[in-house]
Amino acid sequence: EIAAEEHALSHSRCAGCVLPFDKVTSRTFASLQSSCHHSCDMHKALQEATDRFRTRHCSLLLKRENRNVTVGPTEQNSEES
Amino acid sequence: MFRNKSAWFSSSVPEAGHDFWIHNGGSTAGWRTADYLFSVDATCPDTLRIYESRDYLRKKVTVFQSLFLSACEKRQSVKSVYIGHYVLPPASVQDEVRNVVGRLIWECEDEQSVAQGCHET
Ligand SMILES: [Zn+2]
Repeated sequence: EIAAEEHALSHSRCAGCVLPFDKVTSRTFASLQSSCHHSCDMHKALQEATDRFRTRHCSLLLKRENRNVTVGPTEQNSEES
Repeated sequence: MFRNKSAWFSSSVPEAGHDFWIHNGGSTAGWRTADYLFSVDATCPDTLRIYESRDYLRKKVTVFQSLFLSACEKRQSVKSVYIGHYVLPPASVQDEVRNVVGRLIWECEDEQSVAQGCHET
């Protein structure tokens, strides 16, 4: 699927490093990067830190939603604007 | 260059990035539907809103540093510029990456051509 992985010539280049503009968008980058098993140092650090951010915010979001159950979905409005 | 591609621009992106996109055939769209999302400032409220959205938390969306467009402009091509080097993560993630690797990817990629863009913004 990801050609970049096949010719991972060195550890310094990964799918995130070699995917051309035509092959990736803001919609597909995150999943392409996480399906790449040979991330370079920079993409690996980026991915790990981003995953931690997501975990932190998911739990915040859950807490907020639980609190909002009785008040109504205020979250919806702020996201749609 | 950007024909049949749509982009969303944060208000933090300089006019020049926006113009470059349009002049090369790109269109614009809302952040929920655009193919590419560009920002220069992870702390800008319109960009923060994306980081806190469900789409972002579910790995459905990535924000790119609009320096990518400056790099394309300098080379008059998208072919030799890897957009994967221009991921703009939330500010706290940027700090973590700097602590581990010493810099963000776009801060080291092709210093001669990108460094200029860095200082402009
Ligand atoms: Zn990489």
